[in-house]
Amino acid sequence: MEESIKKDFIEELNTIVSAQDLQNLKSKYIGKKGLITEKIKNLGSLSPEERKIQGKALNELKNFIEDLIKGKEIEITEKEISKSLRKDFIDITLSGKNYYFGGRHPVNETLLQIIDIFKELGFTVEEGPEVELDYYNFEALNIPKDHPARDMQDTFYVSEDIVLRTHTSPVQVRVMEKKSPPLRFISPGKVYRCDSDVTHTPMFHQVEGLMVDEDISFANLKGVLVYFLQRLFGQIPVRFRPSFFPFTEPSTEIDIGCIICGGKGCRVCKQTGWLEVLGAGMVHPNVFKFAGYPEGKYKGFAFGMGVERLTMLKYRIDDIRLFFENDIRFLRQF
Amino acid sequence: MKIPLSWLQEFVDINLPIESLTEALTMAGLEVASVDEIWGEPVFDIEITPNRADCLSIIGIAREIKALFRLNLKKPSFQIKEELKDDKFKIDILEPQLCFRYAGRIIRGIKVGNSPEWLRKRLEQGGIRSINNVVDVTNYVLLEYGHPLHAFDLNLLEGYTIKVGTLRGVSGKQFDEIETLDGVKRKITGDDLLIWDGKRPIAVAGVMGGANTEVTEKTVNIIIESAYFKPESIRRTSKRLGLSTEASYRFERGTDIENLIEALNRAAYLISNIAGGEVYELIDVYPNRIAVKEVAFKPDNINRFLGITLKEEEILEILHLLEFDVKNNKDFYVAKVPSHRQDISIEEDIAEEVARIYGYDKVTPQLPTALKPVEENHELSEKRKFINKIRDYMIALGFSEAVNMSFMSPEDLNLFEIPGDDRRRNFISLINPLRQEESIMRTMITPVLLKNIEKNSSRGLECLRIFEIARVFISKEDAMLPDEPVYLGIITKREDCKSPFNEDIYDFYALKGIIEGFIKHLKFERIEFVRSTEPFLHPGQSADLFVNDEKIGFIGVISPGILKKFGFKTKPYICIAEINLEKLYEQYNQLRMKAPKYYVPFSNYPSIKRDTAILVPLDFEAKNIFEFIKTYGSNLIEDVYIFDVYKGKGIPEGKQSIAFRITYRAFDRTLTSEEIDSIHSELIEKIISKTGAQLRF
Repeated sequence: MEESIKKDFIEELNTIVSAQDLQNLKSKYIGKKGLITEKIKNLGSLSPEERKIQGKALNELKNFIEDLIKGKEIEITEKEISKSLRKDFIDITLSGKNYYFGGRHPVNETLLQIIDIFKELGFTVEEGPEVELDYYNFEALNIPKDHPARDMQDTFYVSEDIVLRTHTSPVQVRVMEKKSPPLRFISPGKVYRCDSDVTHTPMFHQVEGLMVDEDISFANLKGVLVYFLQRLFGQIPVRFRPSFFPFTEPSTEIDIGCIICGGKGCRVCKQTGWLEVLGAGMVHPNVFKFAGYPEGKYKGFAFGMGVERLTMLKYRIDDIRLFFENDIRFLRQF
Repeated sequence: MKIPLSWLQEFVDINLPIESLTEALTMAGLEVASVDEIWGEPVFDIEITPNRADCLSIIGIAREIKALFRLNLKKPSFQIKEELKDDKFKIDILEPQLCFRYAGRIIRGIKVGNSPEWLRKRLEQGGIRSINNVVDVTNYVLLEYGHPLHAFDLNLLEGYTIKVGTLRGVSGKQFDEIETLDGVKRKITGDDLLIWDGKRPIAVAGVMGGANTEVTEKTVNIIIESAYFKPESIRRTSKRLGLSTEASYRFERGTDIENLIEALNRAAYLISNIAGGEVYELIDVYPNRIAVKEVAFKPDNINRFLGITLKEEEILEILHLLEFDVKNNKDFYVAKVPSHRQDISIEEDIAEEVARIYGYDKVTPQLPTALKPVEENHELSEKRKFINKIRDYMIALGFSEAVNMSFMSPEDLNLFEIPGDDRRRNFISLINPLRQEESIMRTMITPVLLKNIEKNSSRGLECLRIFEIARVFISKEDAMLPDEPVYLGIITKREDCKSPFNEDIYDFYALKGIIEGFIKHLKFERIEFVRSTEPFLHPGQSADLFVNDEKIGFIGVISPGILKKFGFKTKPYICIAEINLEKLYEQYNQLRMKAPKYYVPFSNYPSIKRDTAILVPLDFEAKNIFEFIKTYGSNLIEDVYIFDVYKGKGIPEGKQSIAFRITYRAFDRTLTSEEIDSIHSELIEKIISKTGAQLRF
């Protein structure tokens, strides 16, 4: 008899697809009034011998049914979940919502990188006004009025005594007026020259630096600037050429081996294999005099660089005007 | 300065490959910009720094090469055959403080004509146009010696004399212009140094000769001038006239006063050879002889300063090569500076010369050891950090950072309808702007951001979100220099920004949320958005931002009229904001000083939330709800926010429904539903009675 029940149950179970039907089937066999439950209830009417044999068989049958139902239950739940999941499928190739990351302007990116490198060498950051007194921009930097060195920088004038700073060097003087050595700082910022073509814009960014102490040498200047350039560009060759700036003596211009052609000569380095990237020199004693430092006590070096130039080299940008057009296709690349 | 190799080789025996010579000159501070072929010969184009007037000549460069390669310098050798006497011609320096020396030679009986080919070739290689044999010789000597000369037609001089002085210095003369050799009539002022004959000005000293005494084919007698003028004076006149010549360029950098006679003799010699004529005796007026400069130095100082270890003899040898006359003076040396090196006056200058000839590249780079701590500008670095944080925040929100020129046009302020008494009208003007559109320093950032957007749009670019952090410039009446506060400008443009999703990151509320985002992060207590009166913003969709009762900026939708003026053809929805970061930082700083940031404990008891919707008139402002709840002052209210605003179907005309959620939580216990029900209904009743709202079911 148990065998036929078993057989019936399996047949019925195989037709079942929904959780509800499974529930009904479960009630039919092992529910409170189920087929098997009833039989178990009726065991009492049997002889102890018979009861024992029947009881064992019925319990086995009950367990067998329970197991199969449990199995079916899992099967149906899984099917239902996977069915509903399939219904909720979305197109994961659609672009995400607009939470894209914006970008730092490449010039500011380079600027922050420069600041970070100099921080490693213990340089702090100082700032000064962009609309500046002629005194700080020129005179206190050993560039008197009517001096040909003024031709080196085309100047925007606000009045006879006020200019748009042509370099961030006036910050040197302003800091030296307030602080005594040791000094070690850079001054980043915007500067202005009355000039506009493919390689010049009337506004650009500069980082100027100053290190002053009792015993600073030209070899130190070389050490710091070689460190800086190799941190920024990797292990490139660096050369120092004599040059002239009114506020330094000796003065030097610094070239790096052309990073475009590797020094073989190309359009960017004008076939020389070298790229000029920095101006520098030992602080002229007259500048210390203007700052009010005791004569002969301190030595120091100063340097300056154009941030756009370095950025152009880093990212191989060939037109400086791109920086200030703010075309979104340009800005989004950084 | 153009230097033909063949000319150079007349003075030094140099036979290096072009590349090696280029390299050597460049590494000695004479940067070779290019090497060109002119008349079939290599010509170096060398960039001479303003301090090296002595190198503005072939001989000057040859002298450098002599020192670099330890060669001999062969100066031109020549001999003027016969000199005739003339003691009638008079040269008079009226202002010796402006003209230190004036020498001349008369040559009579010349034949002006074309120059021989060798002379024309040299001039062309040097970048000078050939005129006639006399003028060409003066220019030839200018290139060779670096000393400018000028030839006057002696017969055209009125009175047998030359005077040197300014209009002010030459008494009783009334002239206000002079026609120069280029045919231009030029105004002269009392400061300009001039050359005069007995009656009138005949040249602008050191700049250009006058047309009235020009050497032409008719000329037979000339006087050649070789002089030294005060550099500053020549520069002032040249700048004022806007006239820079080969002569003025050299005079303003300082020529060699001791060598001007040799240049004069050389020219006289060459003219008599080429154009014939008889040379007369030298006339030389040199009232106050310039003393030889002496510079003291110690080899030890030079070594320490440069970070090298040269032997004393090596230093002395370099100085000898550069024609310094060095004397030992017990524990230091004194170097007599050659007259062509007026740029040398201190020990550091001597050090540079030593380093230059020794080779900058031979100095071993040395990082300074044991760096002493330096005082940090904390105030500034805190502010920089604050600004960098805002920059990074904007970037993380998907904005691109722009950098624009600091200039604007006064017209931009008109386009933005900025009123006459607004502080943004206190701008700084440039005397010499490049363009009218860049003639003042900007006092606000958003006009140029709008131009950026216009440009991008015209290029068919969409979904624009841009910001810029930069200084603006506001002039102050009581100070020489303007204020330069740092501002943040933001702009977003929604147009053609189609997305499969329903969200709008370009509207007023998106931008407001961004600003609230960082302002809330800074923990300001009192921030307020008040309807803005900025004329360029949509009056109904704009606000001024106040922090602790101080206006620090604005936010809003640009009014359509403004867009048209900026060249937008369509009517895009553009939001802008501009915030004074300087003031924001000040407020932030004050806040930190007054109330340092401490941890605030929070309750872990369960919260109860109640949602309510009320019907209010359309002009009802949401902030009323918040303000009321704040004044109600229950310490059980943890949070209030509005989650729905609705008008339209199902809502009476002229009304809107505002739905808000209040979260209640106690610090010390679990709240019961009954307790909150009674508090909440009391609160809602009060809101209703206070605002006239109706409950919406």
